[in-house]
Amino acid sequence: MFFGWHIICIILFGPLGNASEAGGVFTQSCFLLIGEHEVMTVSNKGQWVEVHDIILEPGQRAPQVPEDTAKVPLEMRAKGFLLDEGEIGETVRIETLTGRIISGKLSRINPEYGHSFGKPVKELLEVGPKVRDLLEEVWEHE
Amino acid sequence: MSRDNSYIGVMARKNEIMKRAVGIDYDAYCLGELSFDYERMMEETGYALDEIRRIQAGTGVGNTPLIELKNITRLVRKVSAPGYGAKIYVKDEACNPSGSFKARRAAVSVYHAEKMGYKGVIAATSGNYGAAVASQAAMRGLKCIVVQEVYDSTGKGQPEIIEKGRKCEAYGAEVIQLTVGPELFYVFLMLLEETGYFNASLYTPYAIAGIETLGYEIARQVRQREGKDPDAVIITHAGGGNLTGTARGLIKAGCGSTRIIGASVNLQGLHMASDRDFNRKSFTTGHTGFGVPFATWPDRTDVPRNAARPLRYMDRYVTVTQGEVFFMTEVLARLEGLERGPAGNTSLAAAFSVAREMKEDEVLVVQETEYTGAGKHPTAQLSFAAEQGVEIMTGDPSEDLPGTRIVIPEHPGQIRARDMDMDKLRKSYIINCLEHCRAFELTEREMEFLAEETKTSVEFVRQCLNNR
Repeated sequence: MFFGWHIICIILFGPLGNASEAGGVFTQSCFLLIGEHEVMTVSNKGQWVEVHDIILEPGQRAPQVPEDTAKVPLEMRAKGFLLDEGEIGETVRIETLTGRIISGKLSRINPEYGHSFGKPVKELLEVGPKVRDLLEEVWEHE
Repeated sequence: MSRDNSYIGVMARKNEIMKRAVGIDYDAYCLGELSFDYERMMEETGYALDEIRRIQAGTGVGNTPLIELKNITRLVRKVSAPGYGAKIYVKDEACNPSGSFKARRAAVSVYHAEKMGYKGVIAATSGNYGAAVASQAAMRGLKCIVVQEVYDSTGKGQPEIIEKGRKCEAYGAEVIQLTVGPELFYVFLMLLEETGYFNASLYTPYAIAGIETLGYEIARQVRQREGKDPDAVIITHAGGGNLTGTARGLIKAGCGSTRIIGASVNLQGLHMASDRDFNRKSFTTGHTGFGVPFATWPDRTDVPRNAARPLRYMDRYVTVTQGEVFFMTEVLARLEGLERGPAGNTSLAAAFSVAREMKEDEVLVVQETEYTGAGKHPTAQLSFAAEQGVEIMTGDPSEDLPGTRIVIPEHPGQIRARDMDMDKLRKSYIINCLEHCRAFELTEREMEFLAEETKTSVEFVRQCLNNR
């Protein structure tokens, strides 16, 4: 099971401020405590969420896709305001930023952007001093 | 009766959906079995240069600075033979509202969509174009949907594309994120059909005409600074629009002898539609996986006739490695105080090598920069590559192996643009045309068309046909 024995307890929080007031709907949300991280699993109407859907099953993929891609489904993720109550994994409807109503399995609640600038890369850090050294002599003569 | 929304059902309605979503009757420009009147299509469906400059100025697009890269030019001369090392300028396209030259394309497409009464626009792109369309749509009050290829089957996303998705959402666009596969087009078609929005394709005459101002501005700015035309302009090449539009703008400004050089990151060996290979590359655009197929068969896009036809203009096509581009991105920040790219710096890396072959009194223009951000940065992309098991090392860039090893050069003198065989590309285009053509014998007009398409002669076309 995904959460395994790490699930310590389920705590009902409320009211939760911004996260629970998206779309102007006053709500309460459920959290799982996994180790030190809180993960929302139950969401309420009006919250900003992500849904996941399978667009094409492996047998329905385009004929030209390579073998490894043909073995997996074509998946979609989209974000919007939740129109139903729902738990992670349940099929729900959302209203997207263009006002379309689409459905899919609830995959993330209040999804954050996890991308970053990454870790320092030694091989790149060495570039600056090297090229500056090459130019020192040129700068001195100008 | 409900619509057939199966893959085959939707693809069968492709032409009818596109006609409504683009509003161009491409059949009107057809001349023969494979030829069409390219210039008439551009003239009648696009906009005149002055009008485009006015449209773009209306949303703060264009008129970006041309910056002399003084320290990079010094570095080029330091590693060149005496008397060699062209002066390098860069067109700082990151100064456009959405952070890249793509704002020029989007400005015209979204203007046209609004004029034609469409309520919204849709773009199928994992690149900077999505943010450009979203930004322009925000300014004009239109709705916007961007369809991206982002994740592999394990749910792992390319950091560069996740950032581009974030930027689209920041401008209020709905972003549909898909896993790897060409069926993105199928989803795109269904969305066009459902919403009735305009297809803000990268490849319509509007989008290509929008880039002509970039070439035009380069010509004017170089003449003002140097009192002559640029000797060469180097352009990051993927789908062909950047090169086509810039070259057309230079020609319209009267730069008849400026050499047009395309540059791509070499990703040879990685399959663009492979679930496994998807996250083993560090560049999601500006690479050979798009550059070569789009040069040798441009009509593979979301419109019947691609207005981006790079072989009509390209004098030379070079490749550089991922490691070389990361190196030059670092050099641009450290020596010129410009944090830009990395993907847009493909042409900069190639320029470093090409400038060494040129005389000191020659001028080489690197035609774009793009914004940098979280995920869209050398450290982000190299950290991600290392997590996928790609080896990162300092050494000789000729040992770079896409998907396996990224080599950051030890010394700038090791950066070397590698020439693609232009005649081989041209021949490949001609053969691809014939494969899509039902006629057995080509007329003289078809041969002339192929000669124009490949910037060659009827004699060259004949030779290709005879040696097939």
